[in-house]
Amino acid sequence: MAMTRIAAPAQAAAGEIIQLKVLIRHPMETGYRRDLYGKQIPRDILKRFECRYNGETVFAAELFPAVAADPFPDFLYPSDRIWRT
Amino acid sequence: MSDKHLLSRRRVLEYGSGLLAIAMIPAPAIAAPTDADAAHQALFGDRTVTEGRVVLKVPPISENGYSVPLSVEVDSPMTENDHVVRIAIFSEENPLPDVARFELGPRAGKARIDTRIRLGNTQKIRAVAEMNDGALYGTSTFSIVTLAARVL
Repeated sequence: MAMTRIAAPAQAAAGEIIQLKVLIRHPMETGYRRDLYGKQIPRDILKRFECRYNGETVFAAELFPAVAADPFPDFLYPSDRIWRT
Repeated sequence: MSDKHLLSRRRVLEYGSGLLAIAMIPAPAIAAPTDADAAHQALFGDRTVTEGRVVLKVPPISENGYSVPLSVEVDSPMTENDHVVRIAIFSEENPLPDVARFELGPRAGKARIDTRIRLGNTQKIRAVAEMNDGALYGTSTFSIVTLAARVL
């Protein structure tokens, strides 16, 4: 399971644009790499990220594997969102 | 070992298995700009893309291809009548042309996203934004990658 951390301002006035930072720890393994013994490391990719506000999807991201969509193989920083509360 | 044994059974097996192992490594999947075109077409069809309104920031020199900061911002008021629906990022040289797709709505105060991506080679990165009226805006940036992400 991916560990997720969300950073949001403690207070925000109505209508204010705030920045949401989401940090997901995930290897985002491409499936192209091999281990020490030449065995293929299975693909392990976060494909979709959704941010909902009162049930309504405010922001969503589709992330791709091998490609590049992510940070260090260790953790993912999918969105550094700014939204309206 | 004497010359006579240069092609001994053991040697043949050793080298033979080595060659076999090399042959078994799949050819690295290398994308060409045409793949990015195809990915773009699959998503947006043949609609024309206007240059501008999109600002894509990727460092001109990426020292670490495993983690390249990327920032996209679209100049849009993000109101109910005029907002960005989708932003797609394409890579021209990574094994897969798709990098990420973001879906936004009028509830997003600003059409701006920061994230980190992997780059497998020195290449051009494209960003295309789709507005709610169906108009497409795009831009591209070039980044020299010093240490390429080992995605193969």
